[in-house]
Amino acid sequence: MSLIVSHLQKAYGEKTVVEDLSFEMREPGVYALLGTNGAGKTTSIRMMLGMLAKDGGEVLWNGGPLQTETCNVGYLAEERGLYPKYSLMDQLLYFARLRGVPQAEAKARIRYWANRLEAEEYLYADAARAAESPEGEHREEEKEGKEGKAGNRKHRKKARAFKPKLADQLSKGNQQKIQFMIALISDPELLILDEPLSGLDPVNTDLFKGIIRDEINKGKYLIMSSHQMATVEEFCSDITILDRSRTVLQGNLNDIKKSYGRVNLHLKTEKDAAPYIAACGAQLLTEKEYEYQIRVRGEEQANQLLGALITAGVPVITFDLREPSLHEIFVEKVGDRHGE
Amino acid sequence: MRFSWKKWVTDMGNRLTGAGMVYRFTLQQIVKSKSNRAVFGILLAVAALTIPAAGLFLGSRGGGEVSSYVDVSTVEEYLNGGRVGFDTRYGIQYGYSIVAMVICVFSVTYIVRAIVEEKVSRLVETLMVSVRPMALVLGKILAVMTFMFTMLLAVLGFFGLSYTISGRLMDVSFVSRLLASMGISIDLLRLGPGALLVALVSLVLAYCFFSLLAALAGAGCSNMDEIESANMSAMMAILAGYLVSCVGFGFSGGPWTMVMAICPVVSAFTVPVCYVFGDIGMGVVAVSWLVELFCVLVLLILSARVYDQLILYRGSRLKFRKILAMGTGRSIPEDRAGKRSRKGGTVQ
Repeated sequence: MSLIVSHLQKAYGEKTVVEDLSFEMREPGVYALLGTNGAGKTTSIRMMLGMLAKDGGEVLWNGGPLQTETCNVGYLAEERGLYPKYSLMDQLLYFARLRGVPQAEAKARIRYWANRLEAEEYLYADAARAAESPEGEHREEEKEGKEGKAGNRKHRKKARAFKPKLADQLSKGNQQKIQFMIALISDPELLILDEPLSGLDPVNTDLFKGIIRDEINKGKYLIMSSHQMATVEEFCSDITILDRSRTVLQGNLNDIKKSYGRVNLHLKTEKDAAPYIAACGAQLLTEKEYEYQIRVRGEEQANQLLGALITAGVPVITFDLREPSLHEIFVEKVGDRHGE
Repeated sequence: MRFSWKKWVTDMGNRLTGAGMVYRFTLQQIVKSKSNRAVFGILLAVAALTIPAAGLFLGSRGGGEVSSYVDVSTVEEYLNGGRVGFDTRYGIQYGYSIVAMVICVFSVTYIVRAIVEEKVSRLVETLMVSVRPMALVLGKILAVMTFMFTMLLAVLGFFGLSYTISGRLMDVSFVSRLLASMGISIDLLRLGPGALLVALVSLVLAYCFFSLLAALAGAGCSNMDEIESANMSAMMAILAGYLVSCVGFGFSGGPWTMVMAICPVVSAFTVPVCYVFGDIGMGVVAVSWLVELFCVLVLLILSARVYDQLILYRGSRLKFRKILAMGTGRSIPEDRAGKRSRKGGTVQ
């Protein structure tokens, strides 16, 4: 399987919003589409999915045009939403049926994903009761066992009394869980996630990350658009950085980083090291209580600085020479243009 | 480029994939709605209880003296049974127009609300992975139609059932006396399954026409505040049809009847009544339906062109004139971008 996007173009009148975007995914993994706000990421995704008409270019999946009818696609849109007044279970089943998942299978998958995303209490009566009062639930069950039929009746009555949650009764993060379930419900081969972790608390972020990791391990093709560079670095092997509709950087993330060389030095000492940094000609970026972020020309200059510090008897706590982070690369590529 | 029906049909087929699922889901939600169920129940109760209640209160007094009101100006007319008086004709036309208007207004309001709600809730983008905008809208239109017409038929059915059962238990002759006192004689009207069919088909076509107008107007909205103004476009068309049918009825006869029977916006309100009174035959009814069907298809083609571009539109509500211009290709995207950027809207 492969995804090939070639020469994608979109313009509204005089304004070009996507200019000649091309990339390939020959193997399963995660491809990141990065860019500033309005760079054309979402428009590119919409064109890939056929929601917006392309002005030029093509999107191929397994050699043929990518069509959502023939390719099992899961999509978590940036502009997420749910029907505010309909039951969540109805909505999940609806989306599953739209993606061609049989009813019984859909129910099993909903149960699975609800469990994975810790969203069972919004969908199931038993989970809702347990969440409301775990101890009371336990006692109730014991009592029911003793009371026999009368207890069962009470149990059934209580189950009937369960009112399914509506979307507008959920927090934003919990709504996002339901939306993620919608994207995953068809067990998609191509999963497109537009800002999947925005607005999530750290606990839910980890839940989402775990699932994304699992999907990668299952050999799925993922396209991710995000402003959270750390997340992108964590998952993505290849990236495209867009700026004002144009591709400004593209390629394998490791190769890109290597091309910059190890120029970022994180130095922590017990004494003032600023004079030695200045003396060796390195660029001091930030300084806070003998903790320095330094830009060096290369390993030679870094070693020269380390030598000077040792010779001067300055105790070194941390000396970490590394490649620039994606965040720094992004800011360098996009920030410069915005500064122009 | 020449228009090709074959290509259009294939394209439409693709566009309508998934409409069945949308239909089922929408209908399920309409039926689950407590307020809808309450309205349905109240109407059924009214239909079932009107005759027995009237029978209990009016009894044999109902309808008073029978005074058939029949216009006759010639001996031949008298011998042939005359014709229905103006007041009676007007009353029936007025009553039918109100029923048709209420059905269309309720449906249009629901459809616009449903479309705008889906757009505002930002759900539409997720939906569009599985279903095209056209199928999304058509599924909704058909679901609302099913509910409305089921309700109408159920009310009529309950009314008929109530009349039959009440007739076995009490004296219901007051109903025919009441009708006769209003000058309505079954003998003078073409009532029966044929009339019901004419009324139903005309109503369905009118419903499709006004619903597509409403859906087009709804597609141009981006927030709930714009629902009222979007409703207005379709409402104006419904009101125009209603008013022309009521006012124009005074001039009925000859070419004017033909105009009212064939003109698409008006015909839904007039065709069944004209048919029942014998003013037009089945041939004219068929022509009227063909014209209405043609208009529905034209609206469908326009909609197909417009939805794809408007369903993701965010910005100020587009005027209906502009939406129609988009459908006919007069307002091309190049023009739109500039205009929208001034208005603050974007198609992202």
